Amino acid sequence: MTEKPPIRTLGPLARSEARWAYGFILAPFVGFVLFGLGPVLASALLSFYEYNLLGAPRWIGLGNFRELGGDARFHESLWNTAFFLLGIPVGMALSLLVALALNRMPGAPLLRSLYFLPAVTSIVAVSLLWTWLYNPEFGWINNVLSQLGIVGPAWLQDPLWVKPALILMGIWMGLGHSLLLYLAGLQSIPGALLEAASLDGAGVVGRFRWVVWPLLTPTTFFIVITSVIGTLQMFGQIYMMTQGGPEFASATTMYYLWETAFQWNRMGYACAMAWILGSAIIGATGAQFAVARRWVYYQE
Amino acid sequence: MPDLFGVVVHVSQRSQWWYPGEMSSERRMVAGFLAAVTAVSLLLLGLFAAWGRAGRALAMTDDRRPLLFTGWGGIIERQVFERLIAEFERLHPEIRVDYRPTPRDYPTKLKLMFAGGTPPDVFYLPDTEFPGFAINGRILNLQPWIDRSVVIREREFWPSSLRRYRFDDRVFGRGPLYALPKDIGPTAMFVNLDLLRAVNPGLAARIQKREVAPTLTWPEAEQLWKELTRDLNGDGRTDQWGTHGITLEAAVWSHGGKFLSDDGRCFIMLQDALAIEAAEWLVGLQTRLKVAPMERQRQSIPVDTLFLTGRLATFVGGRWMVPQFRRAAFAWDVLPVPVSPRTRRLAGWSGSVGLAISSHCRHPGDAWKLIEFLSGPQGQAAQARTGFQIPNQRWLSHTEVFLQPGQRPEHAEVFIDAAGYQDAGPPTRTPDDEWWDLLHRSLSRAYRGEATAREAVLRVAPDVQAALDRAWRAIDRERRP
Repeated sequence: MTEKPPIRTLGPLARSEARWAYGFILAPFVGFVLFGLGPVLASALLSFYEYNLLGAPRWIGLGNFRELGGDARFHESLWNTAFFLLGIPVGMALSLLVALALNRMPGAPLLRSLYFLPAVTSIVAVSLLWTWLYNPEFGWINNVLSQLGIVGPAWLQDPLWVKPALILMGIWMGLGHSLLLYLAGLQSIPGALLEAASLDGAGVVGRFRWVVWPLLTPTTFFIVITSVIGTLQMFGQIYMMTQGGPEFASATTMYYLWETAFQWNRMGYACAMAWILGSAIIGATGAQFAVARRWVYYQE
Repeated sequence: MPDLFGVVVHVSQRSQWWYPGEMSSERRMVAGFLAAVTAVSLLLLGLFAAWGRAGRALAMTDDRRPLLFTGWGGIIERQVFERLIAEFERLHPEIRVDYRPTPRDYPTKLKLMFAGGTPPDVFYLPDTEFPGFAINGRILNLQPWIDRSVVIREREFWPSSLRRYRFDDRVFGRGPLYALPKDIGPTAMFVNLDLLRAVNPGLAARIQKREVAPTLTWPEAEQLWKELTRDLNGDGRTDQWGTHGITLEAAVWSHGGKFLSDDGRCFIMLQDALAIEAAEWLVGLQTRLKVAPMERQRQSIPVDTLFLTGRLATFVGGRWMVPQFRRAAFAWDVLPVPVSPRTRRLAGWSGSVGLAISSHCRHPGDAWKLIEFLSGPQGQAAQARTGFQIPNQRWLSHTEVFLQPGQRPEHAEVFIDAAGYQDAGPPTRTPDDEWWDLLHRSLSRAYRGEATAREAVLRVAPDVQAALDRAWRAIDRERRP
């Protein structure tokens, strides 16, 4: 027979803190129950149906999932999405470098704000801006390249270049967000620890390697988790800039899902795709949590 | 932003809420929190419901019968429709029309309105979306009303504008009408006469003398486009292009080719040598003759801007381009889309938007009155005056309402003729347009010069047929007795 665990009680201060915490998370939970829970359950159910939005749904069991197994475009969309993940380590390394440069630097608040601007700008505006930058004939990027004697590619119309181009834009967009988190992480590192490391003979590299980096691992972990989830759900810029083209070269799974559901009216199939994508996101997040125990260091 | 995930993990790890028996204070808090979520959610749901009831009660105070009418269009079209609806409500004081134009992504929003159980009563139905709505029984058969109407006379409409809205429960293009065309948008070749005069003064003079607009064959047009394609500043790059915009349908149909079998179920383009030949010719305008801008150039400047700035000498486009091109600083006119030398057959694609009544409409008689008014002479005249569209009725097209003498194009009759011989796109004969989309995506390789048209079609043919099979299979299952 299982032994009954002891009853735990909270002190008045902890209770007060917990009440505030619950108060803060109440609104998003209610929002989810009202606007998210129904569609989530409906999509789970519809993934077992053939449903074209206009007619009655027809039960086909695992038919949608079986078809996805042999759908070359779905596989290509998964590959494209996985390719876009390559931008995450590059963006993180860049934002960490900039954060280290900006940490306790004069004028940092202004620079921080400038770097953060893309993060608060609408994806539509950012997409339009970069569509112009990537304009093959008149875009700023190809103009600069032409000054160097290089004929720039048609970035968004070339299957070879479209993914790197979108990754570059993604890095620019995400830099400010990661930078801010890294700056917060850097500024929470106790000065005493850095001082102690210096007294022990650690140089700049040593202090970073043995003090700064370990204490930044929770921040890094958070950025990795949110960036991976965000990239796996990448849609806005694809919809605005390439419509998955040329020839499906930039179609992410989210874009293919949207196209399947709303262009080709295969909502049941799209729901099955959504659940596979959702499972991939949960799986990737779970795997990262499992591995995190080995490299994320939390200060006691 | 609060670290919600952290809070949830913390609570779930430490509260032991799953353990039956006495409640710890943490467990009580979780229970209280869930109760609060439920209570607030129910409260908000109640408020939403009350809000909805209040709205309906307010609507009930208006004793006119309501009709929800949705469509799209720019500011000018909306203003025209607002005026038309005001006139309709004056003529029918017992009906109130709630006009809600949708600014963007209309087909998606329309389908979601139906899926969500709040469909409009009367709505624009693009011809490419017609099959899905007809097959699934989402629109009413208008034929009984049309047959009784004294305003709508079927024989006055362009046959191709009606054919695309017919459905006999198995085949598209036959049977009763399920929508009436709001308009028809045939295509023609816009020609910059100033540029033309510089290379072919004879042809420019013939056009400007208001003789019958000449129809060029592909070789004649090629010659002209070659002369019109020029490097103006001597940097080795083309600055002025000969043409753009001939549709795949225009090339294939004019050459005598086909995309689909007669029942719309088999993709036969690959086996049809004429269709492939026509596609190769079309692709070759960019890759072989280099008289049409590549996608790279078209992405740099939109083609309508290329035409308006004198960098594109001829441009195949629809009537809806006319108001925009009337702002051009140069002389221009329209010619028929060039024809294949093999058949000399005039052919091309024309777009159209229908007006349909939802099968859920509570006042279908009123809805019909609105369609009858908008598709009838009064509604059509008001819409045609904008210059965007050709009236759906032939007799009205030959009046000043459409011809608009004194305004470009001088040869407005080119559009009228085209409305007669051009046809709806192939996807209007199939349950959906996924196959068409796949075909065009694959052909983009050919347009970039990375494959021939035949190779591009060969590569995608199995996927195209699979998409067609899937679409028809779903219909066949529904129709099986």
